[in-house]
Amino acid sequence: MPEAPTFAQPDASALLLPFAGSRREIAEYEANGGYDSLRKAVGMTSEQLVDEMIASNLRGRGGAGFPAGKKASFLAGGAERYLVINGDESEPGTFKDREIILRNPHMLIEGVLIYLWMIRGTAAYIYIRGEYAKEASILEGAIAQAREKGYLGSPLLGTDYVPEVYVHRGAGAYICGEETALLTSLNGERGQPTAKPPFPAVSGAFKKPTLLNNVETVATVPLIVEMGGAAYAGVGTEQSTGTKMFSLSGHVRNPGNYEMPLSASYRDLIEGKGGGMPEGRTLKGFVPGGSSMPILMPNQLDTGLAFEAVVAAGSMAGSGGVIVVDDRTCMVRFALRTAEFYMHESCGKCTPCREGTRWITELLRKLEAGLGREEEVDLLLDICNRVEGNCLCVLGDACAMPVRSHINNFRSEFDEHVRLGQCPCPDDAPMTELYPPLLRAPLPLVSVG
Amino acid sequence: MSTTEQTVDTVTLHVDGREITVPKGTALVVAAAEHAGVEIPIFCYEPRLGPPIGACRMCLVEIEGAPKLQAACTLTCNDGMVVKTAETSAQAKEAQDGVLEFILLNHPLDCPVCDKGGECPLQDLTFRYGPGNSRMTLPKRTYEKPLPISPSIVLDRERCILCYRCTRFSGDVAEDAELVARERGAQSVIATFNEQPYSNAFSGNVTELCPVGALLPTAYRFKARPWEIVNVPTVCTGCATGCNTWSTLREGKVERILSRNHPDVDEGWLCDKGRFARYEPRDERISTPLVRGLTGLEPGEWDDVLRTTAQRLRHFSSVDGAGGVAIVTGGALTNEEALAWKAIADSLAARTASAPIAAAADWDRLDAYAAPLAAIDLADAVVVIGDQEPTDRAGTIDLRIRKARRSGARLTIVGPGGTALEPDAQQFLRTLPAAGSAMLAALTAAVVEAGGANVRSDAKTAGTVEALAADAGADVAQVRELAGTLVAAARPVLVVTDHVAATEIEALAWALGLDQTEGGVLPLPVGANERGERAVGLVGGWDEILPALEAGEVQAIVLVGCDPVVESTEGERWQMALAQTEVVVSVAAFTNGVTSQSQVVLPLDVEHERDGSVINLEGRVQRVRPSLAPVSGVPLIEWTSRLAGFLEISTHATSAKAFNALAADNPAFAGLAWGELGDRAPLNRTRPAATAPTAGVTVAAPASAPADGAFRLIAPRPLFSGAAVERTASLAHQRAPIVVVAHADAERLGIKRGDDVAVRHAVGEHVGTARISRRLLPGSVRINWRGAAGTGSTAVMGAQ
Repeated sequence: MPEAPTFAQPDASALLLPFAGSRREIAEYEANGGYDSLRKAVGMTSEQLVDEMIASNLRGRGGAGFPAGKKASFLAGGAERYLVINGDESEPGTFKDREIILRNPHMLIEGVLIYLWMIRGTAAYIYIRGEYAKEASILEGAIAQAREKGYLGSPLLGTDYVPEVYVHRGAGAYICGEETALLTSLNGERGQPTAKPPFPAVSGAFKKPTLLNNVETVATVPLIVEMGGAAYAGVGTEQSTGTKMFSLSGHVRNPGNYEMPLSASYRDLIEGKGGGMPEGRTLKGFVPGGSSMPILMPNQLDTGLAFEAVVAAGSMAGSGGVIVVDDRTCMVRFALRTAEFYMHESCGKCTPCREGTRWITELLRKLEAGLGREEEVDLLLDICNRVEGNCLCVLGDACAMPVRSHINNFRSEFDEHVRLGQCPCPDDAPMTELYPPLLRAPLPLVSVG
Repeated sequence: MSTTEQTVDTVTLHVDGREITVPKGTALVVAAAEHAGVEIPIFCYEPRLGPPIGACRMCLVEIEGAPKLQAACTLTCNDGMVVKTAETSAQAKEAQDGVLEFILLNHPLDCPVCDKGGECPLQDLTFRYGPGNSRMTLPKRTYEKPLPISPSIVLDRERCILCYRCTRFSGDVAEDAELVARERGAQSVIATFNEQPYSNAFSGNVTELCPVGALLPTAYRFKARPWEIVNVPTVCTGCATGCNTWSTLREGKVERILSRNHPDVDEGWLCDKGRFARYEPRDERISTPLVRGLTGLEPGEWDDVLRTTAQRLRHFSSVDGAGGVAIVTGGALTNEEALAWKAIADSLAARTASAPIAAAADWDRLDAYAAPLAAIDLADAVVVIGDQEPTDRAGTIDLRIRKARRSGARLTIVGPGGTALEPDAQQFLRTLPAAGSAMLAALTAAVVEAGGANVRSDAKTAGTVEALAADAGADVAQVRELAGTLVAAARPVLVVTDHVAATEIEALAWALGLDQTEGGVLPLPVGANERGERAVGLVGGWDEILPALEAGEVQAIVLVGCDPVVESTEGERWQMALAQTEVVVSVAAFTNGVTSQSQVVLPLDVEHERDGSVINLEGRVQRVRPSLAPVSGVPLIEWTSRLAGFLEISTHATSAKAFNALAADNPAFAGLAWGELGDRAPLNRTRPAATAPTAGVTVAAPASAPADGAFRLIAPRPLFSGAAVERTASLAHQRAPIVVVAHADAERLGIKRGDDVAVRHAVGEHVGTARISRRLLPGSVRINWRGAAGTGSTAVMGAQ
């Protein structure tokens, strides 16, 4: 297997990945204190563990930022309960869970085992994105090692509790990162969101009470057990504690994954870690939390990474995928590329998302091709309004929010496309290969007969 | 049966400023409409399909305190909830307009040529709530259309609004998972799994569930417009369930059958037999009296034929004394027609028979334990006993049993295996074929042995659990497990699908004290109006008539609406016996196995031609109404009255008079009035008090083991059989011959799924497509023969 790419030396603030390279071998992981947190946790009661989680104020790393301790406390009782780990990382611009699995898979497994012990779960399922073939095999390898060492599949560390962990690979649907869709997929059905209630905490995997958490959230748990919830809460801000992985991509000198305390700012991330803009380019905007989030403008660069800070700035921290956009970028293209993704990934269950993402995409294609009409820019905004907040899950919002923010922040570019009857951007602008400048007609949409 | 009064918790909420109080758990859409008088438009919401899914988003409402609009269909009413619908909330109105705009974006709006036009929820809601024009300037999605998804149903994907009602019916109600959604996003389409034809026995229901013109019955395409049809409320007489229907009449032709939801009977579902089978073409029907002459059956004058018939019948009744004449029916008559034939039988001192076996009459004794269909919904344990699938005798009961299982009832299937309900049942108790009798006796013994607060220890048992279980070929531990289930259940329902004698059922029901529970026994009759015919006095079984025919004791026989040559397990004997009978008169819709042996053939009225009442398997008296005149022009009840006249007796010439006579002196009709037979008939029946069974229990032995290399045949008459089904081309796929082979036998004989397999049995040869069952008893074979080839008899199987 080819070695994983080399990673930048982490700085002193890193907690999750405080080392360079990877620690996939269990011996190496244990030599650095691995599975000690599990030993400590097994000496604690479920209530104590939940209390530590609540004290840490850890917020879910999957995107919504829901307090993880509180979530664990909601889990309904019952003889059969499951832990499901969401590793279906598919949001464009987000690739942090992949980094954790590639470099420190045992930390995830240790977190899974602590969680399982905490809820006395029947089994854990790690639902991993289908495209993450290599990551899945690394995870399987690490699980096999942990099993060999007796951490799972047999009574846990002198108790009579037997934890079991399975890896379940997705089949390439973005929607399966949405918790209810993930669960329907895991249950063997077509991966589509379901109405809540019933919430997963009551009826999830195999219709049993289920606790569902993001890979990074679970991987953070050994840290919390090790440090103590209160000490962990000392890092970051009051409402957003700890450190978090950020995936930095786009027009930046040093793209990659960076672990940052949540008290830092986007300037620290983009200019500090990322080395700022490439030579000769200026910042046009940055998407703070994965492609579904409204774009922030250069004057908002000092916005904090904390969940509450990003909300105050008019966007959301989401999953931590930061996309940097430079001055050459055609925002119509950027909106179109984003909308196309969500149209492609819409599951088709609810009306506004299914029809709205397609209509938005088609209108943006027209606009980018220079065939748009003046009123269609406002029509786009209107469609976004009619999609957002009206869907079964947030996939529709994920299309509407960025498109609307691109139009609102860069309205003149959209109007310019209409006025000129073509895209005004030079041939060397990003994404030209996707949307060639001579395009004069909308791309045909494939119909399935 | 009385349902216990339960105190219902209520909640109080505000809908558009109106305070309403509703039972806890009421869906908001329902509460708004029924209690606040506010319609919240819906497309995907359909409570019969299970939990709401919130997919179409048409029902978005504003809830005070909620950050976003909420789908009213997935919300249940909470105390203190403040709801603003689109009537009062601008935000909800805007969202609703948006959803309708999205739904219409790619909809072709071809209402003028769409068969749904005029009775289309999408059309109605668009008219009321929709935008005046479209802002969509791009080309619409197009698909190949129409796409047949089965010989009976076509799909138009352009019209489809993806409400997923059809796939939910298929997946969650019929549980066949044949209809699926393919692709995703805006390219999602409804399709059949693996492009196979949609073959479920209840497939037609999706055409009614579809809120647009996407799924249409092939037979109704371009046939009629809503303003030129008349929908006649009637009741299906395809089987004894008595599903309530509308027959859509246009220019003297029944073009379509729709469900007329009776929640206690059919819950708005129909089987494909009831929906699609037609007695057509009408010009092939027997439309005049026929008399055998030199050239075969020749048309005759009504009065001539009836007079001659009367004379011949009278002759043999006086020559041979009592019982020289037999009047044989099979559940095809209305109560009123049956009453006239009862009078004729009495005047001729004739033997009668209305069911394949005489023992069926004993079933009336089970009334003390009778469970209505709706009891299945409330049951905590459902046990199906018999070789036959419940659906073969009572189509839609299958859906009700599945629903009960989904709601938590423990389902047990007892029989030789190879049926559709087994895979999802909590327990499958395998027996020999035709072992229902022994099995019930074994269960009774096990119940008495288990004991319990409600168990009557004086129940008669026919032997030890071990011995009786061995007779039935059942595992004794499993018998005890089932007995435990039954004893523990508060509301068990026993569905008996075979004509086992009532004594064993009665013994078990008595032992379990079923008369004291809200559960009970639900035996499934063969004939559609078998209960009604019996109620008016046509009792007896074909099995009693046949030996008398063979012995020459019966010299004149009238077969009214039945064909024992095909419908009985003794077809061959019937054929020979009829050949040596002096007078055979048959009343039939089409020429069949007995008309060819008849001296006189008279026209039978079929459904949509009859005005009268029938009694369904629960004992519910329901009204059938005519849409068409009988093909002969003379209603059966009228010419029967004329025949009676030639016999110098008088019968009622109209159903109304006959019914009033029944209501006056027949307990099954007590308190009913012709003019008041409601559109949704109540179950006009109370359980008589149960008394300890007096008859000794005699256990009918299962068929003995067949000779080496031969198989035990399981060939009950399938749902998709009969004159109408066989003449309906679009149902051909439903009666495609199949052969269910036990896995072990298939391995041994090298038979694979899909192979053509021939089964030779007493009545003929059945060549069908092999299906392999791991539950079917090895050494037996199950076929869907068009007639009743018999159960437990011997067959030989070989690869074709």
